[in-house]
Amino acid sequence: MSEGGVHRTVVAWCPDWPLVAAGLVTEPSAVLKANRVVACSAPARSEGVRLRQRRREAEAACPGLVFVSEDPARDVRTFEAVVSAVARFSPQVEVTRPGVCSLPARGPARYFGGEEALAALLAQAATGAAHQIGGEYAPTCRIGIADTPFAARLAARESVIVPSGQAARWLAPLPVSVLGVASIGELLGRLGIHRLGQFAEMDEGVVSGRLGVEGMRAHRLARGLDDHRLVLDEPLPDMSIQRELEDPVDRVETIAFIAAGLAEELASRLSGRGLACTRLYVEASTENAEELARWWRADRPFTARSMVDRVRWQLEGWLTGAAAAAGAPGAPTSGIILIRLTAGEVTPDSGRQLGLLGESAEASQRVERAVARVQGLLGHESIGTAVMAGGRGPLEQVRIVPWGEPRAEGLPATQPWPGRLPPPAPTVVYATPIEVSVRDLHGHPVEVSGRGRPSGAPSRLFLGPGREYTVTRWAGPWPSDERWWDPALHRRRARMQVLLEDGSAHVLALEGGRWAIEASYD
Amino acid sequence: MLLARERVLPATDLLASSLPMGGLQRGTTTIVTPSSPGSAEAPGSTTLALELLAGVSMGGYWCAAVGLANLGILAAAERRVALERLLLVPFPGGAGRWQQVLATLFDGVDAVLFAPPGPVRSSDARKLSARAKDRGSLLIVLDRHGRWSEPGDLRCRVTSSAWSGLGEGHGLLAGRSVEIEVSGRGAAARPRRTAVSLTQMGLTA
Repeated sequence: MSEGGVHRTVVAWCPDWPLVAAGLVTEPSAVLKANRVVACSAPARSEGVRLRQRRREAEAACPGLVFVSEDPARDVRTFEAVVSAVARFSPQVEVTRPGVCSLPARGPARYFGGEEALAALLAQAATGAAHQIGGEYAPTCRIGIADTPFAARLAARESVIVPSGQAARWLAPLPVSVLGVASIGELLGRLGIHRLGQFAEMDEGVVSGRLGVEGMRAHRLARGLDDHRLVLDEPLPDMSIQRELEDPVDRVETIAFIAAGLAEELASRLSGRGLACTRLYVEASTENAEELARWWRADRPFTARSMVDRVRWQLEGWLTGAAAAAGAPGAPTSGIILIRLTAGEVTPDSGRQLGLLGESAEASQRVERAVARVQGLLGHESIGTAVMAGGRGPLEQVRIVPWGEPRAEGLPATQPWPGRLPPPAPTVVYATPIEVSVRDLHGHPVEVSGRGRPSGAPSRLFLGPGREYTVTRWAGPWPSDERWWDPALHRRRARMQVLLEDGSAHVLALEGGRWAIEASYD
Repeated sequence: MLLARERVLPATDLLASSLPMGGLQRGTTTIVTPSSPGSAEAPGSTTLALELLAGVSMGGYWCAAVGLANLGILAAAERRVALERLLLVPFPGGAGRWQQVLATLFDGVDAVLFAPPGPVRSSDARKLSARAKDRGSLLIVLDRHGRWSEPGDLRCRVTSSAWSGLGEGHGLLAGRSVEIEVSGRGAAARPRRTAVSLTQMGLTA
């Protein structure tokens, strides 16, 4: 029994996890996203329901099909139970996405008496945890082992242990669609290449020329090689960032907020050096010295936003999951006082080059001439570009600079600003916010106390006669006390996000007792 | 570095597989609309228009946004539109004026995103499209109120939209999945619908 390469991986896969999490996996059920099926239960599949079907098609195949909307937070939160079970086999367990986690094969295989034995024990442990969540008839968890994480994920679908050195041969008959990148799959299809084996035989130069960096990466996967890009040899200092909190915090949103600042700093340290990371280690400790540390992996390099997502999911699972409720060992009994993020698998970020070129490029004469003519038609200040600026409100975060004036940034935009709404940013920002009346269920105007508590849940917005809207979801208020040190510029505002019945989403701001729509997410 | 004048301008990964040529063709007119003009049902047309622009901008090209005084520029930057190569003309003037401004910008930049300030006469729309074609510039019309009467070469419509992440008194707007419909002349004659996740969550497929 060979031990395989350095990255020989075990993958544990719980099929149809979103339906297990929703408690519907034993009935015909499916998850819809943008009107299409993205997951379904085995009973649904046996009736003919398939992924990517539209809602109507699925209903026609299986009348009585139960639909659930996507809830990634719930999927991750419940999956924590399985991850904890797997973590007992190796502290280096890594969550790829809800339903799939992986760990290195070498150490655990040696300890548990071989890969077959390991696979059997893992399957049992993970399935046991899955049954706690989805009931005793939830699908059993499948284990796959192979030389690369990519091959191991595919091996898990068939509960296979691919012998060491055989990854390429085992992958060869699989269709190129398993690469998971639609554009590459389509292009290969047009070239008459339908199987990974055929793709693997293509010349590297041709792949690079026609498919670019992404194509090269996929090519390595198809050949059974690791998808790890050239990883830097020496770990860099500064790849870890942490914050100790004076007062313990047990609200996930608050921690996510703090983590957002850490993530932005870490992301900018990386990008400032032209680097990116595809693994992230998130550690959280409580006042009573309970700890939860997890590795997370992403296919594309982590952005600050995707880092914060992982922190939120990890803590939601830990603080609010079944383990916490049951008082299991290791479950938190007090608030969090330490958060640490560490970047792993740091590689040069090839996607940055374009940005650098753009920044140093000078406007061509063509652009200058066009601008001059527009200024002649409309005036000097009529045309310009924008620079990022510091500030909390959606309006202040960007500044317009008339053409010809220096594009110096006013305030560093990368520093986290307390009170600033996290991304995604709204696509429409009203220079003059639209006044609106916000009422709760009983028709009373919604107010916000000094401590930031709303007097009631916002239920209806009134813009004018005949223009009333129902609020279906909301969050906040998030108070911001801006420039309190400057009497002239001091502003106290509270903001909320609301989703209306017509599917539109907006930012509401309260200032001086009056509500207005500050921005919309069109 | 000299950028070759390619016939098809690049699109982002999110949209490339939804567009008939994998990107927008130089000199064409693309109309971006919500599911029905003037309504907020299936909102997302501004985001879709920004995403189309972002593909071009990331390719190193110059872009302009005309008549979008309320544009969320931070959102544009988040979608990877290069702010240093985005000309902003929020107030392009009254009737007669803005047509000249657009025509001028076709000379200078590779893609213009335009939100009509009022109803546009068919003859004006046709003249502008012809001018864009002549100059090899892309015209993207963000038509939220049904003001552009000509069909254009390509139409992109948001047909359904769903936000996730917001609860009742908790959470945050996080991800969004929309369905877009692409239709038009020639290769795109049959309307084609695709589901797109407009705010990436960083998850693998």
